Amino acid sequence: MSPAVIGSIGIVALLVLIALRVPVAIAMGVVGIVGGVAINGWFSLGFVLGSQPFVTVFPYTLSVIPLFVMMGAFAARAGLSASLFQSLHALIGHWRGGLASATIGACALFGSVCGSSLATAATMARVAIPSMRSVGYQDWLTAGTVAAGGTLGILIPPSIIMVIYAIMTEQSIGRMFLAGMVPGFLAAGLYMLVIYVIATLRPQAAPLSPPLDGAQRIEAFRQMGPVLLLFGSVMGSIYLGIASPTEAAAVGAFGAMVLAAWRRKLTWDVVRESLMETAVTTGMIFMILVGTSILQFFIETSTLPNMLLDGINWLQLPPIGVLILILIAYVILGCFLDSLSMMLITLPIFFPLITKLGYDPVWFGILVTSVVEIGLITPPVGMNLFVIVAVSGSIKFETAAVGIVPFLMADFTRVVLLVAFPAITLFLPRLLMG
Amino acid sequence: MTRATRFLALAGTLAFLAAVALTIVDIGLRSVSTGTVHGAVDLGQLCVMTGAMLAIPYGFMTDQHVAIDLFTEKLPVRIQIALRVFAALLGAVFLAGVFWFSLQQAMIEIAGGDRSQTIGIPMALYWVPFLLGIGLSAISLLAVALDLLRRGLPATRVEEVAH
Repeated sequence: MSPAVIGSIGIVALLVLIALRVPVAIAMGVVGIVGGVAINGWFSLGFVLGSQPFVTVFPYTLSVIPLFVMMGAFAARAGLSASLFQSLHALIGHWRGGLASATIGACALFGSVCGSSLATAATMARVAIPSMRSVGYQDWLTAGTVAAGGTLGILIPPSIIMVIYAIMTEQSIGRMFLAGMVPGFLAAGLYMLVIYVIATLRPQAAPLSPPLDGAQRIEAFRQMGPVLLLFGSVMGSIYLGIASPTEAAAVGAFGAMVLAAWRRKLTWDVVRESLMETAVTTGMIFMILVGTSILQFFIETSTLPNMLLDGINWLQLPPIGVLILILIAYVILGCFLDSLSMMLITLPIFFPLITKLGYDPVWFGILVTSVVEIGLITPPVGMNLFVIVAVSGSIKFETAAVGIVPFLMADFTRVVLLVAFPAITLFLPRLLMG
Repeated sequence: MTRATRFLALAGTLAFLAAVALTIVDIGLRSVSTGTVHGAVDLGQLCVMTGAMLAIPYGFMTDQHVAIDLFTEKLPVRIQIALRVFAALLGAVFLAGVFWFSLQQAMIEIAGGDRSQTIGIPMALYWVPFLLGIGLSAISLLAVALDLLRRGLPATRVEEVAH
């Protein structure tokens, strides 16, 4: 049997194991070992199992992961989401669809200090859903807004998914963050546009809120200060050359703890919960990285990426056609797999292909982040939808699934714009980092 | 076993806090003087590896590692239990393999006197949390399999299936 055939069987076996509820990290590791032995013989076992896992979790660059997770964990418990929502509610809540737009804005700002979509969706859901319902927003729009807004957690830097992509593909984390900035805020802008259109066409879905007076608005605006300070200290320390991304993540984690203490939220329970969340999330990511490293060795030796490239050459597909196929594959996989696993399973196959086709790896990274994020809101495994259903207690999954449809259109529009105009992604890193 | 792994994970989080403190002090020193924390990178690396590896067994004990329920959640409870036991045993065998071969590699490096680049921390200190995390994860998965065979699905999961 040729290595490419073994590689193909391995990919099918991987998907079967994942479908049978084997943890993704274990499924990747097992397929990697069995496939690796089938291609390279037993002697490869010692190297693959003895060195590869340790070498994978050893690099200093991985330190950035728990530190950003910790920043998000403390930020989520510091009550920042409530302040952001109240600030934006005071500023734009009286506009047409203003409360929903305030939710999106608050998600975008919260996403800038919390690199996780689930955390953004969960914390914002607790704050925004009761407010939107009390004003009379219909449930489908409420759920759709919070679920879509939650995805801004990984679209707007700092983002855990961007960090892991950068580490896996040896790109600059700082460059990835800069590249993600405009697409992230573009996503927020498109979501707000969708809300405005809905509120105009169906005013009963998004009733107007009464405006606040000037003094209340100034006070509300002041509440945004701490979040902007935290975001500024993380991103500023990277781009002013004061700190590396890992050090900036430590600054962010420390800053989030200080903010929580300043707002009198830093109880022992909060410290314990935040640290446990950091530990469990980091352990889960490291375990997936171990599985990925073993699978990657197998994929590389199977020559599967080369076979894929030969197939594409044979089909005479233009590079843009290949890119579109890859993006479609991500959207389909996103219906069944979680973002991180999907990215780590596919990168060993797709990344060499993309670089051989001459595409910019940073641009591709932002595209991947954009499309894997769509998986968070597409049923049946749209994790953000489950979060909304769980937090609200009374919104049905079907209602949330209907509510997400207009926002999916905004997502697809954004992806088309990013593909058609790479400068949207690349001009900021080129401007600031050369 | 869950309590023991939880305690270990919680203890590991102190290493993350140490990494944060170390980095903040390092940046602070650099900002106000020419001094730095000697070996901050090596120490940070050790802290993060310790924290992450010690959390992995607790993740397995509490079913927090990423797994896809979509295709199995509608199956009868007995088949779900069988699949979960299969997954846990497969994981235990995989991690036992990683532990065994990593142990051989660790022995070679320790015997060779390998040390970290900047301040020469013995590599054994990096290998210990790694091996502890992997070894305990294998044992945790065996415990999960036994628990599933003895008690069936966790109560919350049974309620979900019933509804």
